[in-house]
Amino acid sequence: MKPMDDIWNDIGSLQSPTTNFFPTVHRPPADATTFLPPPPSTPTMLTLLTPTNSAHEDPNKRPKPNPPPLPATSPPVHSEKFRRLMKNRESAARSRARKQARAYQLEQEVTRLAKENAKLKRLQKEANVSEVPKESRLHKSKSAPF
Amino acid sequence: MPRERDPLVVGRVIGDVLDSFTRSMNLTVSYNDREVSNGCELKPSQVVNQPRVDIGGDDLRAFHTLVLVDPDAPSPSDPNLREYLHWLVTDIPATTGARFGQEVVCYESPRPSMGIHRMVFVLFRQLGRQTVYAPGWRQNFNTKDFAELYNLGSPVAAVYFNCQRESGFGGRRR
Repeated sequence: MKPMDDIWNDIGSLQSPTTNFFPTVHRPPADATTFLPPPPSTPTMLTLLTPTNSAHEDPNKRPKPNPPPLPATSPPVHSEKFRRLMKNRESAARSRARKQARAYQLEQEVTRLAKENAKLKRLQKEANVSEVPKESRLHKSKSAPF
Repeated sequence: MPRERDPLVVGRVIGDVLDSFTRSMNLTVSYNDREVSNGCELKPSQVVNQPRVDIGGDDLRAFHTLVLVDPDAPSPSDPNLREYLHWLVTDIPATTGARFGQEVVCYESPRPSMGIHRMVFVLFRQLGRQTVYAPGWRQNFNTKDFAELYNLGSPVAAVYFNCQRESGFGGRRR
């Protein structure tokens, strides 16, 4: 899983005006009410955001799921589409953060409870070992001589 | 670089509401005998009434302030009312609970309409018994500024839960 800092850096870096996200594509005008992606034959936002084999990379570097540099176009920073993209990214990041935070919290609790459990078991064992001394237990004593 | 594992940091409570702090006191918040643990999810119907809050420490003469804020009001994607103050209790003696303190701002039950909100409990230690004035309104409260105003210093404990609309569609606009 990506470290949290990376996720937040991604969001921060997305706000740079020099980053281009949209290639020039020819496709039917987007209907604002539909949320279906355009036909897969044309490059879409989703395909561009996943790593492709043709991505130029330093062979020594581990491939990161960042969008590869796109052909220079005018960045529609104020377009409705871009706004939705950003909002969705932020929402996804919040969702990942929620999931991760909950996971770490539960891990902490499990560790704490496991330790407490081990300690309690140990204490119980010790309490059983050092049992009631023989003298105070009930047992038959000498009968009276008369 | 070691990955951050503190749920308060990963959940951005530290960042959006508080600065980094060291936990030094026990804070137990329970709604209907169910203890709140960081990031757990509670429905509005489960948090209608104020929770039971027990605090640790050992000196009855040490007083504490508790706030409950929603940094994601009215919606986490546009939190222009951050932070919304849901509860403010002062003069809580150590080893006791919120019911022993002064309720300066009464408990208002969370009713998020959009998105998934974090509801954050923060506990501060007071320098002494003090008069705290309720803010004029609940929205746009600032926990950090409030702490500075009343010399509360850094928090001694914090815990948060997530809350969304009862029907569960708070997280998606369809």
